Amino acid sequence: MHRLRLISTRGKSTLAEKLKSAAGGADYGKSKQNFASGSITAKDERGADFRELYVMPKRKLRGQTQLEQATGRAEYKTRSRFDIADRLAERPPRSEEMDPEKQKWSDVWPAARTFASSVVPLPVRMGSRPNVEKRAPFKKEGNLELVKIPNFLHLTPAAIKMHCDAIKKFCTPYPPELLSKSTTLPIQVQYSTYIHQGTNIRDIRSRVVTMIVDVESLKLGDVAMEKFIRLAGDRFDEKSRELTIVTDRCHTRKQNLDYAYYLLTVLYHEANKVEQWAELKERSDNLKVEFEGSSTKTKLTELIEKAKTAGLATDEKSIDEFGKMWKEYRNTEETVETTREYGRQMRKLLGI
Amino acid sequence: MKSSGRVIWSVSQTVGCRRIGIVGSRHLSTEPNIQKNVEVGTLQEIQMSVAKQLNMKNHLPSPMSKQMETLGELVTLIRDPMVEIASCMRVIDKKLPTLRLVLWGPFGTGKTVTLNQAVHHAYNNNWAIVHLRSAMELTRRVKEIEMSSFVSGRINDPSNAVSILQNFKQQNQHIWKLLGDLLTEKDYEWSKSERTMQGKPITEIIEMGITAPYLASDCVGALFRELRRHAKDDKLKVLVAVDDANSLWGKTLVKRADRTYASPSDLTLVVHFRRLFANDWTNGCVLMVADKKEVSDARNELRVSRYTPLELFGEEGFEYVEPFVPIETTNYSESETDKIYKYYVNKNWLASKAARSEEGRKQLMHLSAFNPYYYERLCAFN
Repeated sequence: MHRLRLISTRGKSTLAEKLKSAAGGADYGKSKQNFASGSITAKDERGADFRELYVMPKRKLRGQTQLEQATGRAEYKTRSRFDIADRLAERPPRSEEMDPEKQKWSDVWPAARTFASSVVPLPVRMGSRPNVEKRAPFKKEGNLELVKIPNFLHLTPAAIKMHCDAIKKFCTPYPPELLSKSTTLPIQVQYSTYIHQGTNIRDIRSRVVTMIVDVESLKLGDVAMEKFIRLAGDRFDEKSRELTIVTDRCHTRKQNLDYAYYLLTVLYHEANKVEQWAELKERSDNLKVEFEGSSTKTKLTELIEKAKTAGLATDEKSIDEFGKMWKEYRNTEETVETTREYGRQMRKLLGI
Repeated sequence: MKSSGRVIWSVSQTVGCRRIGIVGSRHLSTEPNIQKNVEVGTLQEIQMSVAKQLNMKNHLPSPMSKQMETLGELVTLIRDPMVEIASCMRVIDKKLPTLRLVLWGPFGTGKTVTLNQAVHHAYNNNWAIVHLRSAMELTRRVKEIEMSSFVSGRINDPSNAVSILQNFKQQNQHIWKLLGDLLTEKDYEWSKSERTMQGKPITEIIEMGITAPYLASDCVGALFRELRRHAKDDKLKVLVAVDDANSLWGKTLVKRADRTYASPSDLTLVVHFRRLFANDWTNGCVLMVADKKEVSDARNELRVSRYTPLELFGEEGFEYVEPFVPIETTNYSESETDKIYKYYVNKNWLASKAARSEEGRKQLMHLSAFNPYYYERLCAFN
């Protein structure tokens, strides 16, 4: 309805007249005028209007032009794009312009920054496609996934070497005492320093100090050693004979380090003290089950005495060896192998 | 074949045991010394009459005892642990304190069967046999309790005590006359009316216990005491064979008057058996089985309990039974499965065509993973 009205209003306008004549060409307008003036008989003898037969439009169809173009019968001018001037005004991406061999990359990417597809001359792709065999992941241009992840493009080996060379003049030689591997120092102190981008240069984790002490070098006696182990609790590793103190209760690293040394000192002196009640310790209070003084040993020696009189070929000397095995058997986790070893030693001892 | 078998049968009657060769032809060593007739890898038949006397039906594991009833004979394979036990029993001497042996090994590898073989070996050598089916019965299957009048705080277990005495009587019929000649050391005053005077045969103690269940627990103690004393005097040799012996240091289900669980050392029978394990007597052999059924929980599927002696006996029990010789029972070797397989084929126990083929033999072997228990179970269904 609306459209019809539009056409009808256009039909009356003078602009429509002009357009019609432009579309139809000069002749079209003229023939019309001729019709109007009556120079051409536009009516037949019966007085009916002459209506031209429509066979095809009076222009070349697209198929026709394409055919002509393909066969080379017609030459067509290639027209440049309408926005060619705008396009030419824009600079191409830097990555296409640069020569990677001559370009010094650390100048292009001197510090950490987010990924920029126009700068990095690498054909990287990122993202997930459902079927990677058919379609590769997305290209770098306009790829947000590449922007999200951290990159280390400023930390190329060449850049690191350049940095190292630059700060070399500030370094001092490595202490020659530490060069030989055989010397293990009794106290190791470990801590971590954290650097990251941000407004605050401090990190709460950097206050933690771990001190590892070789307990053997404290040269404690047997009694003191046992007390030391009991006081240290699970900080003492029996296998490596190392004490590990982790301090993090103070605010700064220095305070924590001082506190660790303090703890070590206190532990050492406390271990060396002998209290009155320490004499009350019984056999069952030992850290380990000892073969010496055990009921097994007394029973075994008796048995061997009697077995000798009974004429069994007992091996008296192997009781020390048995004791060593027994101690290990009783104090470590029992396995099938240790039980078999126990049986072997027992048979050897009894001469069975 | 048949006639020669008959001859062997008549010979073997005198010894009470036959050994069966691999192919099924039964032969017997003519060595006079019975001590040596334990050879690795032979199939040994225990006569049914002997098996009945030794109450094998109760003492063997249930699949084995069912097989014994089905096949009408009891044939077991002599394996390394049994040979070792036999060699240990050979050195037993009146000067030598009791030798303690602990059988240990994974499930189904023949701890109980080896124990029964040892009992049979002791029978062959005219030893006295103290055989307990399972020490767990003393701690967890106590039907009725009585407070001991002998030691205050001890808990008597009349029903188990009577069954121990009855079992002892049944298993020792071969030396019953000898036991009748052994006399008591002192007067036993069981109650105000019942007493056993000094110089009476120790079989009287047994009869006393069987007839009067409320005295049975004390009678067991007295019997063990007399046995130890007579063994010391070299009157007889004693084999103490206790299955699941680690349960004597395990947990109990016996409740005291205040409804707390009694510790095993409060149970009279447990104390008596522990005394047998002590090495203050001579001329005896104590054979114990360390079994993980004491510590494992059937409802806990995640925990894999160990089957090694220290773990099972616990520190207290371990130190009590030390020094002992641990004897490990293991899975079958291939040749051992072959022997059992051939026996089953000869007995037509393996009846199906598939099982009797070479392929079937291999499948049975590998499906059971060489575990004797599972091997028997598989063979029972093929």
